[in-house]
Formats: sequence, C-alpha cells, structure tokens
Amino acid sequence: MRFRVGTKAVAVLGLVLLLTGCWGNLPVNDRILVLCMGIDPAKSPNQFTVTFQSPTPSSVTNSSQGGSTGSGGQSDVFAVKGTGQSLEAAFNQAQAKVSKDLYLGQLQVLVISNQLKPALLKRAITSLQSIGTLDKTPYIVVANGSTFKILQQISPQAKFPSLYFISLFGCVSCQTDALGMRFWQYLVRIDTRGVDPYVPVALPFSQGYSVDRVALYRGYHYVTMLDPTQTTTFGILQGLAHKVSLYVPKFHATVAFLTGPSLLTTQVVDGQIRAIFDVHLTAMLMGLDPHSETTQKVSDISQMASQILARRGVTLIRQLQHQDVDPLGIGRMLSWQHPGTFSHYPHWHEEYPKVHVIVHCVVKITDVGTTK
Amino acid sequence: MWPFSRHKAKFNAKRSTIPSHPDQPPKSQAMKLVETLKTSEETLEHLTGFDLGLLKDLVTETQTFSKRLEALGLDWASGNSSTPAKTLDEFSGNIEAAYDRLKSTVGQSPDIIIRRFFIGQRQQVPALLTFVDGLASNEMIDQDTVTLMQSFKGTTSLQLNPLIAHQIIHDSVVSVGHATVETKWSKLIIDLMGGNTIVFIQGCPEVLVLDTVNYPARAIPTPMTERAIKGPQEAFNEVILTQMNLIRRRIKSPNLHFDPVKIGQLSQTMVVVAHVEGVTNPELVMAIKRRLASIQIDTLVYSNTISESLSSSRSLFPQVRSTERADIVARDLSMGKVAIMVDNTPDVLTLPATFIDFYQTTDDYTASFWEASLERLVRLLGLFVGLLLPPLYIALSSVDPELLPTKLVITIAGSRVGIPFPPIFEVIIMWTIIEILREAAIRLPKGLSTTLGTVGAIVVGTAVVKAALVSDIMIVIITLTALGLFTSPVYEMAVPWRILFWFVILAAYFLGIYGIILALIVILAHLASMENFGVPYLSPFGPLRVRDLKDSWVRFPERNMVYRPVSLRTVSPKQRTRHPQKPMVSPQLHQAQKEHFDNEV
Repeated sequence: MRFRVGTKAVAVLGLVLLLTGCWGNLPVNDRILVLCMGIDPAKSPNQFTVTFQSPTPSSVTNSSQGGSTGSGGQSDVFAVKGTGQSLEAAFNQAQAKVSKDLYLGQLQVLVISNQLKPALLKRAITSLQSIGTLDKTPYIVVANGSTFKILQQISPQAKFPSLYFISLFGCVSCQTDALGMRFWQYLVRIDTRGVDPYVPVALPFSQGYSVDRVALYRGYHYVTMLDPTQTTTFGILQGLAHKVSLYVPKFHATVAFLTGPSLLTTQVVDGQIRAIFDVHLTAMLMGLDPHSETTQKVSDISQMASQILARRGVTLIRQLQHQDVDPLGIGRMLSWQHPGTFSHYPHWHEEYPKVHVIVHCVVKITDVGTTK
Repeated sequence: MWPFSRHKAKFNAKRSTIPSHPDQPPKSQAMKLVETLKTSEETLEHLTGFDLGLLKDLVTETQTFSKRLEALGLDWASGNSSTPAKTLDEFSGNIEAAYDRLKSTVGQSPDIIIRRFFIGQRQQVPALLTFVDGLASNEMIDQDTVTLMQSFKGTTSLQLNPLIAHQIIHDSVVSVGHATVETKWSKLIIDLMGGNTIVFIQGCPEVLVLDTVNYPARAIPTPMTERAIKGPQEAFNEVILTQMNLIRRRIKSPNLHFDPVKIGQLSQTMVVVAHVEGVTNPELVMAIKRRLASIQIDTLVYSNTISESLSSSRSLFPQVRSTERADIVARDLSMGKVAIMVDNTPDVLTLPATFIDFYQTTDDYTASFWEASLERLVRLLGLFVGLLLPPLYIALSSVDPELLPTKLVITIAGSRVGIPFPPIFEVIIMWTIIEILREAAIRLPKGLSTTLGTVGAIVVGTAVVKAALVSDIMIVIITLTALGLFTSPVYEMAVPWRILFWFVILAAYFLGIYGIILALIVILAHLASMENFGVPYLSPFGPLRVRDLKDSWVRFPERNMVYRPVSLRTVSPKQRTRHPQKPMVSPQLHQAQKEHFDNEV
C-alpha cells in the first residue's frame, strides 16, 4: 500500500513538473529585455526585418539608482536587427548578435510598418500569437515607413520609447483621442466580421513622437492614414474623444473639451441598412467676449458646432465607405442588433458602402470660462 | 557513639537465629567469594602490566551486592510475627533492617540523610528518619518532627500498641500538615526522592511519609518568550505545585481538577492533567489520560517529550500549545481545553490546539477589540510577507519576469547587475547569515546579543551589498522576511514556517508563480487534513464555523463571544449570557450630588 501511494505521489509530481512549462529559469539581469519590437519589410521580397529594441546595461543600472536620461550623451537603448522569412528566423538571427537571451516577455510596444504587405503582416501576426512568453498586452503602433526611426527616437519625456508609449496610451483622459490599441484588441478586430482594425500612427519629430493619426486596415491590408482632423472626428464617433477643440469662425469662438459618448444603432428599413450615430458631447465655450455673451448666442454656437461635427462625421464615414473599410464597426453592430439580416451578407464589404449613415450630434455647452 | 548499640546487638542475636532462606545466598559463600577475589587481587598485584581496576571494581560491587542481599534478607525475615512481611517490597517493622536496606541502596549517596533517634525521653522507642538534603525543609524536620517526637511523653502507648504507633505519632506528635502512610519500599523510595521525610518506628510496619517538600525553586518569573504589553506578568516556574497554585488563583471553582499521573520509569516525573469539570468534554480528558498512560519511557525531563506523544501526526506544525503564561492556561481551561503540567518544566501544555491558537496572545484580550483585530491581521500579513516575499522575488525575477511592471523589472535588473549568483543563492546566503546571527544571539549573553544583532544587521548587510554578493533589494526582502516570520507570537509556530519557507523557495525557483501556488495548496491541504483529539487543526476555517470566526483573525467584542469554540465540543457550550442588560446606563450623578450638598446644608 505504501509502495502504491509512493508511486502515485512520484507520478503526480513528475506530471506536475513536466506540465509546467516554467523551466525557463534565468535571472532577469541575464536577459535582454526587449521593450519594443519593430517589423519592416526586408529588401528581399517575402522577408521581413525585425528590430528588437532594449535598454542598454548602463541605462538599466542608472535606472535602478535613480540616474538621469542619456548618460554621457549615449542612447539609453540599443537595437538588434534580424531578417528572415519568418519571425522565428529573424529572431534567431538577432539572437546570434547578442550574448544574452532576447526576452520578449516584457514587450511593451509593437511597431509595424505601413509598408508591410498583407501576407507578411499576417505571417508576423500569426507568429507573434504563438510566442509563449509574449502576452497580448503590448500596444501596437504603425510607423509611416521604417520602424527603425521610431525605435531609435529619443524623447525627453521618457527614458525609453516603451515607457513613453505606455504613459501616452495608459492615461485615457490625458489625450485628445484615447485611441491606443493593445495587441489583443487588434487581434479581436482582425478576427471579427464587420469591423476593421485601426492602429495609431507614431511619427517621429525632433522632440519625440507625434501620435495624432490612425492608420486604417482592411484585415491585413493597409488602406489609408487619417489626417489629424479626421482622426479627431473618428475619435468623436468612437466616443473616445476627450480634449477635442472646435473653432467656430462665425462667432470667433472655440468650443473646447468636447467629451461624450457616441451611440451607434443600426436599422433595417425596407431592406435598406441604416447606421445612426447619436453623439452627445459636453463642452466649454472659450474665446468669447464675456460682455457680448448671451444665452441665445451660446445656443447658436452650440447648434453650429453640432452641425459642423455631424457634417464632418458623415463626410468621414462616406470616405470610409468609399474606401471599403469599417473601423467604426457598423457591420459588427448590425450583427448584434440584426443578426438575421447580417447573416444574409456573406461578404459584408460588398454591402457596407451601401449603408445609409446618419449622424446626430448634440453639443451641450456646460460652461463658459477659461482653459483648464 | 553508636546510639543503638544495644538494639543492634539484640537484632544481631535475633538474626543469628534466622534460618537461611533458600533464595538468600549464604553470607559465608558471599564472603568466601570476596575473599577469593581479594586473594586473586593480591596475587595479581605482583604481576606487572596487568590492570587491576576491573578486579577491584568487581570486589567492590560484590561487597555492595552482598550487603544489599543481607539487608533484604534481614528485613524480610525479621517481620513481626503477627504481620509478617509478605514480600521483599514491604517494610517489616525492623528499623535496623530498614537502616541497612537504605544504607546499602540510596544511602550511599551523600545527599540522603539517614538518622536514628528515640521517640520519647524516658521510655524510648527507636525510630529512623530519612530525607533528601536540600529537597526537604530542615526547619520542618527539626521543629515539627524530630523535636516533637523526642519530647513525646506518651511512649508507653507506642510500646503497648506498636502496630498503631504510626497513627499515634500522626495524630498526637508531628505537626507537619500533610502526612500519609506507606508500607511498600518501592513507593517509599519515590516519596523520599520527592522531598518527603520518611519516619520508621520500631515494631510498626506502617511508615509515616511527612510532606516536608521544600524545593529549591525560582521565584515566579515574568514571561520571557510570550511577553505582553498589558495584562498579568506571571509565568510558571519549574515547580508543579506553584504551577497549580497559579492556575487555582485564576479559577477558584471546585470544578477545576488536577489529576496526577507519574511518567518515567527512572524519573518518576509528576504530570498533572488539569481540566474544568462541567466544561471540558470528559471524552477528551479520558483520551488524553489514556494517551499519557501509554507513554513508556525511562526519563521525562521536558514537557516537549510528551507533546510528541500527544500529537496525532508527525507534522511540522505544533499540535500542542506550550505556554509559560498562567493567564493563557487559565483561559484555555475555561474554554474547555485540557492543560498538562510536567514537574520541573516551566512550560505548560494546552490541547487540543488549533492553528489560530498560535496566533492569539494575551494582548489580544487586554486591548480593545479594534486593536486586537489589527494586531492579528498584522500577524497574518507578517506571515504572508515572511513566507512569500523571497519566493515571489525569485519567481518574478527569474522565471516569470513578464508579470512585473516594466519599470520594476528594469529596477530589479539594474540592482542585480554585477551580482554573480542567481536570486536563489542570494536568498541562501542572506538566510544563512540571518540564521547564524539568530542562533548566536540566543546563545550569547543578553548584552552581547544586542551588539551582535546590530553588527550583523548593519555591518554584514552593508558589506555583502558592497561586495556584490547580494543585491540591495535582497537586503530589504530578507529583512522583511525575517521580521515577518517571527511575528508569530508563539515560537513553535515560527519554526514550521522557517522550514516550509525553503519548500516554497524551491517551488518558486523551479516552477515560478505556478510553483508558489502549488506549494501553498500543498501546505493548505496538509493543514486541512490535520486533526488532534478529534479537533480539526484549521478550525474554524476548515470546517467553517462561522460562530467561531469571531475570535480568529479578527476579534469581536467580548459580549459577542457568547459561546465556547464549537470544535472543542464542550459540555457547556455557553460561556456568557447573550447581551446582558447594562444596569445603571445613565446614573443620576447630578441628583446624587445635589442630595449630598442638601444634606450638608
């Protein structure tokens, strides 16, 4: 009996130990912590170049001792590149260039080039999903052209690029549009019918990064990049706008801090699909002479701002329909609200441009005052 | 001058008439053997290079054995004709035989005093008195025994009724408070060794055992290992009588019972089982007594020796609470537990003990329930910090760094730059230093131990960091661990966690966070499976007893704790009245003052 119990205990222990997958025991200082990863198309067709960006050992030491950025004018990060037909091949090539283990478990930002062909992007995304140590929480960002510029750019606001983007996307109310996209959210949009992914675009400039645009994808196909005004309108229609301002030329006034939810509903009327956006924004009125301010005038400004925003919204959606990309998820909402109707359209992108879109926008001016 | 020369002569004459008993070896043969051995010794003395030590020992032992046999034979054979000694274990009434018997056995030891004297002045009755020097009170022997017996005037009655002489002496002479009668040598010797004074009276087979016990004992000390800020400051000392007194002072009810048991073939240690009748489950008392009765050992010196026998399993976790505080024992007894006192040990055992018992202190009941709850939660936090901080550090810095925030992982990586060892070796180095310092601090005198602690904490801690043997984060972690593991108010409970700490460390090293959770599940399952005397060890958490949670990791106000712990299955479950009405909630102070002044006017 004792033998049997002992055998069972050994068997269970063995199974437990074998099943863990936790044998990658290596102290964190013996690993190269990859904080950002960039994926670019390689010069050779059908290959891509992967850039792994990590903090330098001296910056890591300084960081633990409260040191400042860029000691001695040196960069706090270094990048290792690898090229191959698969992510694994590129990883192996990069690994051969460094003495320590390239560790992807702390990856914070994934930068993809908008020049990546759909097949390459799909292959990269599929490979990324199969990396065990990589969770799906890194933010995903698009680079206009090469990702290397983004990864090498130094910002005075943060020591490492990854920390800059974590701060940027982590604080929802700090940004004009809270359009940060995590890798898992991106995957959800790719795998869900009726909605297309959008990814924030990071553009390097001399003082850091500018993130005021979004790149739109149809599946893995890069479609277009919205300009800052269109991105703001897109944020309002998504209900993610926080610090949007609108200049009303007729009254020489500014409607600021436009914030509020956006409700998308779909209707099917005589076989015609309608998508209605109800946007309710609150705002502050600024730039108006306090002596000339009247209730009627504030109401007029409010109405005018509503009209401008509604018109902008409709224009943007028509453009998106024209480009056959649905980042607002009209198809997804139809599938939720009218699943029978949606199931009749095996190819949603054929129907999407025909959707009749209505934007109801109400701007409520709650306060007249100064900028916060 | 030999005081009983005439009696000795008489007894020698009488002894010569005693026929040889077949079981008794003839004296001549024994002497012959001794003589033969001596002759051999003299012969061998002339031979060089021969060790005579063994032969000399053999001669001495043979002589001693011969004398002992002679004394036994005399005592057995010289019994009174009316009440002959039935066995060798019974006293015959012959004090010369008793003298020889004592002298040839325990009397060889210098601390055993054997004294002959006469009872009475005119008509003297020979008597013999023996006691252990140092264990018995000399004042009681001199003033309350010997003086009174020597000046006794009614010795005629003793001579007329020698068989009841002990009764006369007991009733009319000695003034020792507690005196008993015994006839068997086996018990008399144990009584003697316990500090009693034994009085043999010529012709009387009954022997008086006078309680003259006066142990050299410490004064009642203050608790050293279970200190409390408020509340009583009395701890037990080594004397079991004092231990009983300290408990009796706290529970004056006649239902408090002390049941004595003797354990140890050699030590004959007095063990007392205390319980409150009408509260404690009698089945529990019986089970504990039976468990104690089954202990077959030669010597019982420490209470911990029997605590192993009183535990149901060989677990790391203590199942018997050992305490030096009298107030804790009194509280446990009133809750329905059983206390076991072992003579010569200042630690009293209370059982059955549950896990939560080891995290309850006197302060919990002398402070407000807010403070008590806070302190208990701090202890729980200390346990988690002590047990889990280094394993978490190892798991998160070596196996699962992806679970840490980026800034923290960079900080940890930065602090470990240049450290040649993996985190587990850092823990081993630091913990070894901590254990060495702890052990040294315990053994050293108090003044030195404080210095050592300071030196160890500051000098060694700084030095190992500067030498790049361990990271500075590890110093913080190990310090918190050491403090956390010792937040357990009972020392015994700190020990299992110090051992299991390594189990969790290894699990974390090999399996990361998963390993830590696995190890915790194993520990929890083990705790949940334990049971002692039918009481679940994890009670009141497993099985869940909601009513008993009022006195667990938080303490409710006393008025809410109406019932005794369910797990103890006490005979009287209630310990107080539920929400008694408070008399004179708003006393008329003003009215009383006014009346007082009016009367004065």
